[in-house]
Amino acid sequence: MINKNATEMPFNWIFAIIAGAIILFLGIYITTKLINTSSYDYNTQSAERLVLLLDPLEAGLASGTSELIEFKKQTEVFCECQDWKNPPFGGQSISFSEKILGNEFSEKGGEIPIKNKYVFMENSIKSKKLNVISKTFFMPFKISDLIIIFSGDYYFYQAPNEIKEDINSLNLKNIYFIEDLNEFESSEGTLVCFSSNINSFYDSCDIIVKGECRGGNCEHLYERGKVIKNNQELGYSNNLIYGAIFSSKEIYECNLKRLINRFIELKEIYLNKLDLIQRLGCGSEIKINLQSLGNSAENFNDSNDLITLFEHSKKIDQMNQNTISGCKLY
Amino acid sequence: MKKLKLNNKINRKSLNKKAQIKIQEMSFVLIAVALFFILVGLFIVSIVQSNLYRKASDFAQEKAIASVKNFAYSPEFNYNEQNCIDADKLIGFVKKESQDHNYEKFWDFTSIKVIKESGFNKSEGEMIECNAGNYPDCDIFILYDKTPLNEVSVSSYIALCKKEKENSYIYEKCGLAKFVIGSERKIPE
Repeated sequence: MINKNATEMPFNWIFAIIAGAIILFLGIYITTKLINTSSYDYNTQSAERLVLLLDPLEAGLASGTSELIEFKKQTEVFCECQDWKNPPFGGQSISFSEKILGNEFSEKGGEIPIKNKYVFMENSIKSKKLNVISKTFFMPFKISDLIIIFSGDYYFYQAPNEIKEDINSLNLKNIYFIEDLNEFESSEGTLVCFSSNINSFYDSCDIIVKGECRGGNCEHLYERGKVIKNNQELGYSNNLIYGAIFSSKEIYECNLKRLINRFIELKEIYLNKLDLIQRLGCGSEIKINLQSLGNSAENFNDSNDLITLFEHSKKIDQMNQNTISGCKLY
Repeated sequence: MKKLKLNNKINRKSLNKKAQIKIQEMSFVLIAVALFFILVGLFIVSIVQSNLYRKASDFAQEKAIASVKNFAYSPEFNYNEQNCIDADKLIGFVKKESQDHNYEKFWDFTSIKVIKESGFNKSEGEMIECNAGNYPDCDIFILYDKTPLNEVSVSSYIALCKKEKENSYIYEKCGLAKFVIGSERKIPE
């Protein structure tokens, strides 16, 4: 029996609705995909630009440089380090994400590889402003410039004069020196305490720096020592102190291995140069010591082994300084 | 009555045929529109892709320009922490690199060369390549050369120094040199 009251929908209408729905769905799907791809593309390009910006920031012949990088939006910079990649030098990668609507961050962009720079930072930094410091690492000759990236305020409690002078020369606005812990109470930054006494312990300190350089070879107590953060110890010497303070343990240890690997490569170049210098009548004492330092470097495991390398390189540095100017290796 | 029913049947049949033709027409139009958008999409993708290649090449060249200025400070080449490069280190580098090729993977460049002043007016084929045997009587230090198909070079003039001895006195002898860095120009396949 046919119900004469029922409304009859023409077949072409049904077809148009189904086809329209499919076209609309495809349109929305493709648009979303395109937006995602363009945000991935944008984040990848931003990471590439950030890496490119690090080039002129390297200290070069200066003792150190600093720069403030500001973004229009809140961003998250991710850093990874692999000492086994790209042998023998290892590698790092930086990727980038930007805040979109609300509190959400866009999809992380592509990872930009870094093969010839040593970037010390936390595993990820969320901020609108990034502070970049560049300091040179010597062992005993220049190995590389260290690039240290951090955000937020840092309070250095009872920092030694050498560190104060060093930081002040960089004109950084986010590092404050305090002599009294009350000055930190109302602040939301990171408290870095400097301590020479092994037994002294600060409950409120986020990071503790222990100076351990004692004896005739040391210019000051904090030239070599340990940085303690999250109950983990990181050995440091010279400018590596900043890398240890501002970066995660994984990135610090990985970069340290990469630096030692670069030293091993550089040592070969210097040994070849020493052969040429010796032909001019210069002594061979440095050569034996440099070979021995190279052997110690090849057995390097982690930052705790820095003490041996530090003492050894100090000895070579003194030998180099004591030779006549024409015979100096570096 | 019977006639009316027959007429209705005939009308329905012709209506069904008309609807089928309309559906066919519409589906053809839809296919044509979809094809049009696919073609437009492909065109846009090809433009974006060629832009990506251009951007990648630009980035590589920008990197080369930024680096050529900094290369003098690189510990592999720098002379006694001064604004010049060390010829004695260069020859040590050439010797080492010819054995292990480690530095080819360290920098993103396809070639790094240093041309001494003696090689300025010579073509690359005429220049004498520096090695441990002929140093310092040579024109060009080829630190490494990956010889890609398409290479763009960036160069910068720099002081090249080395230690020399005269009458038992060791001194620094410096001259002009050209640092040449090559990067690959990416071309879409």
